[in-house]
Amino acid sequence: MNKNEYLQEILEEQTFESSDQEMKDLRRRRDDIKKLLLEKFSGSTISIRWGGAMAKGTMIRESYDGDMTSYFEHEDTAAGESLSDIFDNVAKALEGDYIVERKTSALRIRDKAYATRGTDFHIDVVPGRYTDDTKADVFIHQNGGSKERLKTNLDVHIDHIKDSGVVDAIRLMKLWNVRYGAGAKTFVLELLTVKLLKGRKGKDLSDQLEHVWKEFRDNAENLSVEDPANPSGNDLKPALDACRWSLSSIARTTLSKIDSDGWESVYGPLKDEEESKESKAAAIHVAVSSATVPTRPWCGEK
Amino acid sequence: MKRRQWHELRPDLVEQIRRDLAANYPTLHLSLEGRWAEVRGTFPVLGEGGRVLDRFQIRIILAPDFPRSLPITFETGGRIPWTAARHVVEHSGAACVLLPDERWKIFPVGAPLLDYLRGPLHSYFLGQLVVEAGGKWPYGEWGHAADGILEFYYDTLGVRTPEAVLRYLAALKRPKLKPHKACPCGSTRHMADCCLVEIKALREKIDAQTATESIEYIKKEIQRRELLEVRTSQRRTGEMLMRVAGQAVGL
Repeated sequence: MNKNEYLQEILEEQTFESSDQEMKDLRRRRDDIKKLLLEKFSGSTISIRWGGAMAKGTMIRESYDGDMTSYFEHEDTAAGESLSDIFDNVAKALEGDYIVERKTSALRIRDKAYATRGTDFHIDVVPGRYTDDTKADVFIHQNGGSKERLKTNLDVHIDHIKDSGVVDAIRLMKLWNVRYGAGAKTFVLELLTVKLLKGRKGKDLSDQLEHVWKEFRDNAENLSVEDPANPSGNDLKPALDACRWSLSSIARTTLSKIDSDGWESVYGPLKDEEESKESKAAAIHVAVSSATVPTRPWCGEK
Repeated sequence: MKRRQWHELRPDLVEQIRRDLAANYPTLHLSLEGRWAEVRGTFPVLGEGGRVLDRFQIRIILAPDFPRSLPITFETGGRIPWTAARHVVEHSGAACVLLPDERWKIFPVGAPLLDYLRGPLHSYFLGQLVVEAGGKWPYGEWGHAADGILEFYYDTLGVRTPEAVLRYLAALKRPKLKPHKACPCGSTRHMADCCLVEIKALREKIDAQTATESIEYIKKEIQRRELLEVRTSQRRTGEMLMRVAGQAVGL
């Protein structure tokens, strides 16, 4: 197997089928949330659809989330006058059934049921309001950012990634980012990858990835990206500054590992499809019995 | 004036951590870009012959007073529920990897971070795999909050009441020992004539801050139990009065 075949296999491992339980759970949960919001804001027309990796086709198994829009119409004030009110009221509407974690612009949904409390449903609800009747641009609320609201456009984002011709490279970059904890926000990493691979669509995957890493390694200080939906209004520099050093440092290590030990040292060996649950359980059992420092967990809460 | 963080004061330690991670945990790296220093990436749970059994996405905050303070670990992949049963703090998602009072046994202050990763953190995630598959914590688990602290001190000191543990912890918390005071073991002798050597040895292992935090946990637990007793007693009194009133009406 050559390096590009290996990378394709890695991508295959990271791909969800529509029939996978995780996807079924995401769809079921989305339907529940949709029903809840439509009941709560019954007089409103809410645009509820998948955004993020699900819509862009960049999802990876190792770290997956379903971003779900909850966009209200331009003149609609049923969920609140301001964007901050909309954010809070959508959160409150969900809090009856879920534990809701308020993130920068999204609401992370967790299980509230006693027995499974705290289970992450891998869904972020993103409340917002269309800027006008064309239902294209949206204002979303921002917690703790430099601005309280941000103009965005989901379709522009989706098209920018889908039409880039480098979705495979983006997915492998996402996997690298997660696996090595580079800390880049997914949106920023996607834009960086598209920008750096401009004119390199036809290259092999391995060439594309090496090119991006070389840019990270050698040119980290000069990396820049802009939001295609809001080039002047959404300053992504702080988000990039927060990971510039890590991207460069991990890219350096990655490239040197490829040189010395090959691609498998970056993404790991391919999974053994034959491995059964029983053999994994047996391997865990052996690991448990051979631990050198067995320790007991504690919890500061009851 | 802003207090400098450990990584500004200890570049040698930064280098050591980076070297250790690169050599032993290449999918983890130390980042100094955020508010606090943190180790990020994926943590491999290793089996026989170093085989990777599974991976967890993690973030370990090394607070400004590291290495005195314990690393604070978070599982960031959304795989482990935030529940006390899974030893995750419900409101923050912090992993409850080990009992701070027990730290000296497994990851004493000043030990390399590698010892934390290979020891308690590995046990913690290995345990999560077992629990995820429907099993029990493979090495047992400490009771939650004050219960675990008390279990630990009951085992270590051979005492059997929260009050006795509090007396010992008070001796650990004090900046200076007073040997002429009553011994915390409850013998009524002076400490100097009783457990002074043992207490001095314990002070070497458990620092004043850990003792202070444990005192708070235990005091809260004592208050909780007292409140529970008062409520139980009130309920019983109420029930008794109802019975008496019922009997009176019956008459």
